[in-house]
Amino acid sequence: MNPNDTPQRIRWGLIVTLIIVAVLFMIADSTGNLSGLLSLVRDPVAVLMQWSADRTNSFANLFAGPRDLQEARQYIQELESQVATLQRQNEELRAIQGEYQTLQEMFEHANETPELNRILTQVIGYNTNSYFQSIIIDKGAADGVVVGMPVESARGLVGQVFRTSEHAAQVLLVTDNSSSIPARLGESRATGLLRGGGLGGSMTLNWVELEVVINIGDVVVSSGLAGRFPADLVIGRVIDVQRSQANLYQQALVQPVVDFDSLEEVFVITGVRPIDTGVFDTPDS
Amino acid sequence: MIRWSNYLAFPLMVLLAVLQLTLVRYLKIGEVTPQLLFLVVVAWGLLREVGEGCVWAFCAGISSDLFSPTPLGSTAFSFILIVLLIFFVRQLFPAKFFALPILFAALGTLVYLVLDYLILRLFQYDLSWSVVVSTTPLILWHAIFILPIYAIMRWVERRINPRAVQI
Repeated sequence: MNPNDTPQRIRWGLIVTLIIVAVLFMIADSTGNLSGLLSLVRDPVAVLMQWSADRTNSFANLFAGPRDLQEARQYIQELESQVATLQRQNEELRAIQGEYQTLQEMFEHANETPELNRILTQVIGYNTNSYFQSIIIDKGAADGVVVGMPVESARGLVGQVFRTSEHAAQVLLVTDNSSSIPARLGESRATGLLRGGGLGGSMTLNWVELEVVINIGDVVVSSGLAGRFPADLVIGRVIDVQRSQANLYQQALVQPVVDFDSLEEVFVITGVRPIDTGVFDTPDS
Repeated sequence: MIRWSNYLAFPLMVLLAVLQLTLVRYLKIGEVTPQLLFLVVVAWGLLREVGEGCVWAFCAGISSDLFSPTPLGSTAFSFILIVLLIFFVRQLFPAKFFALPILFAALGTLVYLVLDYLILRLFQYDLSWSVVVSTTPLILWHAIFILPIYAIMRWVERRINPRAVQI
C-alpha cells in the first residue's frame, strides 16, 4: 500500500473512523447515554418485527403440519406406554400430599394477589447473539413496562425485562448465564440462589444447606427475597441433586417448566414493589 | 469513493436482523442458530474491497446489537476486525481458491466468538467460558451455511458491479 495514495488513505481513514465510532458507541451504551436515541430506532423496527413474526409463525406452522402427523403417530405409541407408568406414579403422587398442598397454596396465592398487575404481551423476536438467552416483546415503556419487571408465562417464570424502548422490550431469560434469582424449594421451603446455565447448561439451585432433603421432582419457586421477583412464581423442577459431605452446601440441577422455544405470549408483572431497604441504612450513609 | 451500495447497507442489515430474529430461529441446530448477519459480512468481505466490507460489517453489527443485550457497537467492532482479518489473511491464498468462503466462515466464527467474549467480559458481563465452548458448533454450521449465502451475495455483487466485457 502506497501511503501517498489518496483513495487508500481515505479508505483506511474510514475504517479507523468506524472502529472508533463502534468503541464510542460501546462506552456510551454501557453508561446508559444512548437509550433515548436507541428507542427512536428500535420502535419502528419493532413494528416490522411484529409483522414478520406473524408471517413467519404461519409459515412455520404450514411446514410443521405433515411432520406433525408422523410425529403424532409415534407420540401416541409413546403416550400409551407412558400411561402405565403414570398410573403407578399417580399412586406415588398421592403419597406426597405435602407437595400438593404447597402447589395448591401457590395457585391460590396467584389468585389472591390482585396487586400483581399483568400485561399480556406477544413475543416478536429471539436473541441475535449466541451468548445470550433473550426474547423481545411487543410492549415497552409507553405501556408501562420498565427495566427489572418480572416476566412469566402461563407455565411459570420466564425472565426479567433487561431493556425497554417505547413499544418493545428485551427480556433476559431465567436460563441465561447471567441470571440469578433468589429461589426456594416448594416442599421444604429451603432457600437458595438459582443461576442460569446459559447455552447448553442447566439451571442450578446453589447455597442450599446440607441438612435439607431435596427430592428429584421438587418444585422450585421464586422466594421473593430481595424484592426483584414476587414470591412463589414457579420456575422449574429438580432433576438432579449434587451433595458432598466435604461441602457446606449442596446444589440441585433444575429444569425450567417453561418451553422457551415455543413462547408466543407472556405476561409482564407490573405491580412488583421493590423492598425498601432504606431502614437498614446507617445514619452516616 | 463512497459507493452507492454502502447506502444500502444499513436498511438491508436491519431487514436481515429482523429475519434473524423471526425466521432464522427456526433453523436452530442443537443449541445454536446460524448468524445470518455474520455470514453476509463474511461473504461481502470476500467479494468486495476492504473499505466497503467494513461499512457493511459496521451496519450489520449495529443492527445486531440493536436487538441484543450486548452493548451497542460491540458486534460492529468484532465484525470490522473479522473483515480486516479476511483482507490480510486471504493474501496468503490463491485468489481463486475455492474453499475461501468455508475457511473464512469457520475462522471468522472462532475469532468472533472469542472477541465477543472478551468484549463482554471487558464490559463486566457475567459470562463463563463454558458458554463460549458450547457455542463452538456454530463454527461448523457457519462453514456449511456460508455456501448458499456466498452464492446469493455473489449474485447480488455481480448485479451491482457487472464485469466489463470486451467485444
